[in-house]
Amino acid sequence: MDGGSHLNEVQDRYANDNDCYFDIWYSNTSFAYGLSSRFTIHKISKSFIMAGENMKICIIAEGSYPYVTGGVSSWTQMLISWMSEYQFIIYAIGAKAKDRGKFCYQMPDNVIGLKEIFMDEAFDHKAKWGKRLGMKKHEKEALENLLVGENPNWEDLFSLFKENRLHSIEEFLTSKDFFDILEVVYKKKYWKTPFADFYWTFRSMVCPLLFIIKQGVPEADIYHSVSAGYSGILGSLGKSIYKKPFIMTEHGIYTREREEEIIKSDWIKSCFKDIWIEYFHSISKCAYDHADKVITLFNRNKEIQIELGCNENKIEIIPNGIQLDTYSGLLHESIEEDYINVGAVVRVVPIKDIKTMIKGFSIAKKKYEKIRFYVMGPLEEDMQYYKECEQLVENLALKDIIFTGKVNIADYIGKMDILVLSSISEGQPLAILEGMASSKPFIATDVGSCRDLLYGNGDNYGEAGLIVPVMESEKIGQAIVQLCKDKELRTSMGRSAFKRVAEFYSKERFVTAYKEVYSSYGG
Amino acid sequence: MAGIGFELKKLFNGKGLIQGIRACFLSMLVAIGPTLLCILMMTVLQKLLYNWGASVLQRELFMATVIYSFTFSLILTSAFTMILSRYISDKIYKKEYKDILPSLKGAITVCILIGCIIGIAFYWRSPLNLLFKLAAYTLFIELNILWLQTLYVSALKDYMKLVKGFFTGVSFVFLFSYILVNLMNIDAVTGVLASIDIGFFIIILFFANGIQSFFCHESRKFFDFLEYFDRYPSLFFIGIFYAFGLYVHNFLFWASGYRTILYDTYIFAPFYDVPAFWAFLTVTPAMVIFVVSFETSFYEKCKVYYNAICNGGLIEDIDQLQNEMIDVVSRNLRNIMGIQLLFTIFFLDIGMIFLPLAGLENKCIDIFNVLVIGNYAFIIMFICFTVLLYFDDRKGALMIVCFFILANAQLTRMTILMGENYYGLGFMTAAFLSLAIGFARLNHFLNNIRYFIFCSQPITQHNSDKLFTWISRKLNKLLNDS
Repeated sequence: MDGGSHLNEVQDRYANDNDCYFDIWYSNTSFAYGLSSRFTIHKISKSFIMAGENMKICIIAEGSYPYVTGGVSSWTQMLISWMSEYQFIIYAIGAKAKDRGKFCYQMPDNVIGLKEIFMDEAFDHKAKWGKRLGMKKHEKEALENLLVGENPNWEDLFSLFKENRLHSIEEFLTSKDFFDILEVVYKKKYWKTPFADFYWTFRSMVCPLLFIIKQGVPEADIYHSVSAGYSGILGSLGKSIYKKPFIMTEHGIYTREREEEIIKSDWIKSCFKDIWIEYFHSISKCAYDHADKVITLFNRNKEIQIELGCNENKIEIIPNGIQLDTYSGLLHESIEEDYINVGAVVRVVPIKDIKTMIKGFSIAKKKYEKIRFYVMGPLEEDMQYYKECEQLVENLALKDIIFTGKVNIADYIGKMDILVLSSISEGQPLAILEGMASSKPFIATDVGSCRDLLYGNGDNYGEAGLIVPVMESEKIGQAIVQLCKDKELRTSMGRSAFKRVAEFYSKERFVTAYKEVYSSYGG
Repeated sequence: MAGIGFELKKLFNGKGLIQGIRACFLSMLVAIGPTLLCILMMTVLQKLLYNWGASVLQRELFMATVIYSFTFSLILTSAFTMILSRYISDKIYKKEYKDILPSLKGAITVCILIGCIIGIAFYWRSPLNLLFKLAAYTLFIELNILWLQTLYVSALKDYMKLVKGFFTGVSFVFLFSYILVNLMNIDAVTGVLASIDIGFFIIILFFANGIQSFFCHESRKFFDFLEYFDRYPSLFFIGIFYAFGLYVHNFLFWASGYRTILYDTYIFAPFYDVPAFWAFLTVTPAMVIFVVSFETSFYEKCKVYYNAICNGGLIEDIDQLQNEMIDVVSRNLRNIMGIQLLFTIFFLDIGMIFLPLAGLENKCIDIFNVLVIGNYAFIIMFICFTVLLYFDDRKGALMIVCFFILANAQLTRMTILMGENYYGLGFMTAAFLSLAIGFARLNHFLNNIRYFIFCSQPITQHNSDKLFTWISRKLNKLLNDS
């Protein structure tokens, strides 16, 4: 019976690893998953009689809307509430089942259905192992291809899991068929890696994917996933089952984001990092191939998508939109005439690099006495980081800095003279659009589409702020001082900002663009 | 638990006839344990009782008492043995040695508690005199303790000490028999039984001493092993079904027209029991070879194989080791089958000559012959089943044992109805059928061994919080608070 003891030990080790594997699925802001064996469509409102009455759009969100606040979530909320003539079904993939029903957003009235699944439930079932499932040859081939990193035939994978042929994912993962497939894959490609590591890595890796497919999708007229990854898989599944169009809006590039996390992670053995990256690549590729239209926010992302294998003709750029009148009325109400107010509308989390910003403030404060700093955004998300920031403020003996916590941005933004964003990574930040809509000059790091927003992409509106390199507090400080000293420049930049936002990033433009997309697919 | 086999193997490395005989003798002594020595002791004691003028009925009573104590203590402890050996090997693997000794104490406590109830219930209504009943009851309880101890003893290296303990114990049996019966004029049967109690008590002390000094560090987790009833319930069933399966054909004969009832206490079917007893002894050679040779060489291969799997072996290496291991299993299995076959034929011949001398009728000798052949299949099946347990194939082991107990019961019942000519055939057929299943399962398992090893592991660990876990927590808490 000693064999049993050995194996238990190893399994314990890997059971812990499962948690780690799990972490990677929802590590940052835009990530997560789950199960609900029941399909719950709550009737949230009596249906509205409107133009697009018969159009049901299934919005698929992963680890974002409606459980977490942030760029993708706010975007989704705006899209739904602005497109009030369409009906929406929300398909939300959450990280943990305990979040069920805990929404950060008030569901708009045109949401007619909701399905929640949670990734931590993917591992939650006892398996009856030892089954032989009689998989067909082409189904085995599809799975083999997925695992060796070649483009699989997704239809075969979908058909295998969407029908009720398989009792449960666990049963499949412990079946003889799956084990045989793994051995084939191992001998084909991974014969230099330890078999046990290989086995447990691959089993943990495919579990969430199969789980997702097994959940199925509700019937709708258009599937619209708001990221690639697992929501992209569900969109593809919807298209494949119901033969309905599938649209995908990719804010950040899923494959790239996972890649960064995997490379940074210290718990994945280096020999498996490539496997994980390839796996996420395949998953995104599935969505690129199935989507009728891939939408992204700015040109740089489009280029990456093409590089990742997306057909160029499918890609359309629709930037974020913003309701101008919410902000344009807040013009110029400085609190004290001789003080300059510098604000940052930002969640206090490491990816926003608040520390560099604080150092920048400190540098600016030394050169220009009369500045006040406001950091406006929730602190609770990462209290540890907030404490570190406070400590830094103390160490630098920085005065006149206020962490407001979560506030209504509209109450504050008008009182600011300069806005700052020091993120390490961004897509197309709403914070900048809001600032621009209220005619404020902006200082932002050179990430995502910040450069396009502030300097324009070939338009003639001029500069709306200053772009600084990532993680250089010196440059931020200098930029702040430059703007403080030059009221003229601030005003002209604010003017440029407003013009650009009004032209390219208005709510109207955004709504029209999406309506066009929807209507071109039958809406 | 192949620990003791390794020590024994060393003995066989010595040259010379005397060395060889000594090794053989010791292996037998350790491998089939106390049983053989007890049989010798019983034979001598029977002779003494005869000399001291005990009647036939009294001598039968004496035998019945001893056999009942042995049988039912074995069945009772079988509920714990599989669970405990898994617990011990887990603890040894995790190097948590200090939890091992407490589990013995805990197991003895639980076992004695149950044994008390069974023993008192059994002897309550018996018309035998109180002193005798007390001696018989004590023997039953002592044997329970002894069986549990033997599990732990196999981890010990200093088995010579234990052999000495055994001899001391047995000598005390004779010494006290003489004192009690001849000098103090106590009733012969009661006196001999009381001396057996004393002798076994000394053996228990020797064992306890050996175990205590080996596992010197001790935690306070006395009842942790109970959690294993929740975690591996199949091991409990495997243990208990195996023990029951061994005796179920005897029990059925006890329920038939052949039974004899002694002093309204013991039910018996000597017509069947005696040949069954001798037939079981004929598989001793296979037992010894299994412990000394098969288990040791297999255990080493098995360990290397699992090491390769757990510690980053490539599939090439795993394949290679797997083939070597399977080779060891099949080679040894063939060896044992061959050697035991020779012994079985030999015992069939010997039986024809000696059993009549021991006073067995022709009918009984026929039963003996059938059962000897049945036991041949049984012992090979037992080996298959033990190998499967080494691989942690509890499902397979349980399947075989379940089948064996059901087939044995059903077929024996049928042969009882069919008449004297068929007696023993029930057990034999059941044993051969179970052997076939055992072979099939072992073959299937070895052909898909990697799959079995990997896929039997759960995807997530489920913490079982069931009855026995709860009991064990409560008991541990109770003890540690006081």
